[in-house]
Amino acid sequence: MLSIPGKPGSTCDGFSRREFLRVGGAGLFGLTLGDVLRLQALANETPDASKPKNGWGQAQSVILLFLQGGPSHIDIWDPKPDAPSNIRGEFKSIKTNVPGIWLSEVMPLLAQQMDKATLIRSVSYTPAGLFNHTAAIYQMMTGYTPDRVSPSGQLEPPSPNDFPHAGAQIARLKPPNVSMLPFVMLPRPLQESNVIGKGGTAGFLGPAYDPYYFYQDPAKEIKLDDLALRKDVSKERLARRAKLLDQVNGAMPEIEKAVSGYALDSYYQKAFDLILSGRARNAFDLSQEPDKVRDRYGRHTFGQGCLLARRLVEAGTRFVQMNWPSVANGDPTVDAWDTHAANFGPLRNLHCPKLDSGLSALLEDLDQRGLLKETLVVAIGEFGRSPRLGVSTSGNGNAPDGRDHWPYCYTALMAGAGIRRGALYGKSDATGSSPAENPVHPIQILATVYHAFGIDPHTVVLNHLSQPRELVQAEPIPALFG
Amino acid sequence: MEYWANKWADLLQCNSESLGQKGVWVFRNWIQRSVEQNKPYDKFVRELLTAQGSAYQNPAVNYYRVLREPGKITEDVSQTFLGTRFNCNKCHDHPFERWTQNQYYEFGAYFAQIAIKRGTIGKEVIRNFTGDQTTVSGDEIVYRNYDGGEVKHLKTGHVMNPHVPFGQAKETASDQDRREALVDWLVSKENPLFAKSRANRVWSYFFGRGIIDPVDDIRAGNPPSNPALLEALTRDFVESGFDTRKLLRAICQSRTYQLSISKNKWNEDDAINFSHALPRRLSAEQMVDAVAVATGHRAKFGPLPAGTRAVELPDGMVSGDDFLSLFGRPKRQSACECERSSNLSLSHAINLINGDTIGEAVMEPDGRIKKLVDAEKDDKKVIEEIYLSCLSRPPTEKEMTLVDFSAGASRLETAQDLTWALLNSPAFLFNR
Repeated sequence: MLSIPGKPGSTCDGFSRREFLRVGGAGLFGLTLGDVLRLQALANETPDASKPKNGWGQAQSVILLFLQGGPSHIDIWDPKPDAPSNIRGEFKSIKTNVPGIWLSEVMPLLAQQMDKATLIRSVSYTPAGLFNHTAAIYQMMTGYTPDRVSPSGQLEPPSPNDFPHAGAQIARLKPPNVSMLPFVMLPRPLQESNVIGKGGTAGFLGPAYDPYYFYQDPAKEIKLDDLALRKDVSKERLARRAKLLDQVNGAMPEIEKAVSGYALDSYYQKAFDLILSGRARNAFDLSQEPDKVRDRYGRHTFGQGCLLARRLVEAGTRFVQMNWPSVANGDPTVDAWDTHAANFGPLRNLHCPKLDSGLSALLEDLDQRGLLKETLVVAIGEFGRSPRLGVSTSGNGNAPDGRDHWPYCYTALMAGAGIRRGALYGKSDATGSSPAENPVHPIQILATVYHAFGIDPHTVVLNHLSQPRELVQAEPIPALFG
Repeated sequence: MEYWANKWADLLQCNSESLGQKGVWVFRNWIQRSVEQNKPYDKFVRELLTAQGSAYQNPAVNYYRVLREPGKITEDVSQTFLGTRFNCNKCHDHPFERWTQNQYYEFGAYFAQIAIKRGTIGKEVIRNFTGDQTTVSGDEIVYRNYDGGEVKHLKTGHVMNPHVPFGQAKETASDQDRREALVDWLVSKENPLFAKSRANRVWSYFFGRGIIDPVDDIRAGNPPSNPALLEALTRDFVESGFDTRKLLRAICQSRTYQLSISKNKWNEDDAINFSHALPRRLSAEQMVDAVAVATGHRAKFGPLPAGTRAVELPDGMVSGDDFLSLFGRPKRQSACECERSSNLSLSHAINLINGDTIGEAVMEPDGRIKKLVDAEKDDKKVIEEIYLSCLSRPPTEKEMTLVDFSAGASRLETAQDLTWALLNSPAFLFNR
């Protein structure tokens, strides 16, 4: 009844009534754990010999620092000191610890960690229709363009038919090896004005694969509802309950057998393990970190979020997404990347110091702990910003000292899991307006993430209408790995 | 009653993001009343699809407030009332089935003249599901736009005349509401899909699987597992004058529905022929309410009066209860049955083990368990009472011996732990 593409004869057994409802109608997503494990086994097989092996399967985890709002590439990663002043902007460029790579002066700490990362200065795409944030974010997270754009160019709210976020796909195809949350999103949702969370769900895979939404400020005291033991139930008592539950269920073997397709035992065992081991609870407990480390990351939401990301990855989480903590709202006193006005003062004083300390500390720390070998770090926004100051490219108004949306050329930073150290990939033209060499579509970066996990980006999933869809319709970039 | 009303509210997408708070209440109440009156199915659909007027005065129009445009109406009406999916032939003829792209737009033409205008009561501020405030329009009036309004073919750009996809509908004069003709055709006893799709859907609510499955994807390539059974159900349903309650009764009294979940070696591989029952997880609302019944502890929902049951909530988005959304209560933004999920995963297990819904109910300081332990000195009676309240059956002899009240923990703790374990057992979590 259910055949996995390319695997004749692979059928599922032991799934529930509900799963049957979904198979055939809604596709592969009501899968039981057994099926998931089977799929995982398939996904782990090496791809065709013809496919590039570079970087294949080296990542155990990914940390996506998603700079929502669209940071200005020229003012951060790709300075253009020789361009006219209405493009160059106010910042000077500085040397990094890699000869030949220069950064903007507002990133002095990162400049000392450039020997661990690759800058892709030729990320580029031409949007279909209007290019507001949500459509761009949806593309970055899912690899697909949204099919419903309202007249305002903004999107409809998240829908169960959405294409799944890459983290949900990875959580399904490569569940963690230990009892740990597979996919965590912090510290706030993806957002543009009233559209909240679009692109940040498991969509048609079903809520079981949604990220664990940790929407709290990690720079403040963290509350953990489900993951911490209840005040009125001690560890010993919970263990006693677990044993009693076993006995109670053991006395009803017919029912146990009838629900075996739900893999309850396995989920309960993992859940008990997660709660009793305190693995997740510990990971979220930043107070276990020495002050020196916390200071190095920066005592702000982004910095502490980067630190939390490292702790989650250490504890076994596959996909951590740290969203930039302020959303696009055009207010120059807020550290949001959407700098239609007052681009320079806030970048220098508000945004970049936080990005600089958090990102540089993360690279340094991961490397010192040996985690960078198996952790892929990606820092990227949904687009860059217009090279020329004060022009309108998106239909928004822009102040003379503002930059508008610019998807045609911008920069991503990637590091870890075999990504070349201290390297550049691709090149922008003299004004940072379009790629001069090796253009990279943002969905190729997603394809590269799948590749790094040892998942063929062309793996087929069935959507809510049981139509076959590739994880992403793009090729990975093996040349990023060295 | 509430359960069946919720089934309809899910399908008709009764949600406050589209309708506002008041709209949700009036629409939900109309659905609920229709269920209580056992309104004949054809009458219910006729009222719904020909509705016009103020959303607050004629609640049935709220369906059009959710759907709003002919394309969405075409897709949802065909999926809901014909059990047939038209979304493929929006852009091209269906590759394997008989539906053509023309039919999509011809069907849509019946709804082309529906218009919506702002009513007299202004805007309404609501909280959306993330807790942020957002503004929706208050009253709206659904009316027929006599100046026309036509549907154009996506590819050719031609204006499409209304035609039904199979059979024959009455022609409509230009001064008539086209919807009347469509509904006459839709609910007629001759329409092969109207009664059949409903009978099949209702069957699936009892068995977790339709005779044709998925229930909203009826087509030549997806045949029924038991055609004779489906024909008989359909015929009975039509002959009864679309009496839903009679249909429910027939299904419930059937030998098939009485079958247990036990399998034997002849049917253990079967999951499509109804040879044994398949366990289904309780819905999110059922779970919350069942915990309340078992423990006497009822959670409160936002601003609603204490004692409100989860199945009585009017809306897929009433904030203040994460349990319901975690356990799959739909946001009601789709006509697909698949929007309501009933799986069980790690995050569900964490919540059941350690979350508030069961945790608080079990530990309630003045709750039923405390009173039971205080009043009943006979340990055996305590165990019996807990099994009865959680599983509606007395414990077996073996089950009597599972807990030892004389061991370390207090009697109260032991009783609480036993309740907790029963509420976490599949016997409680699954309908079987």
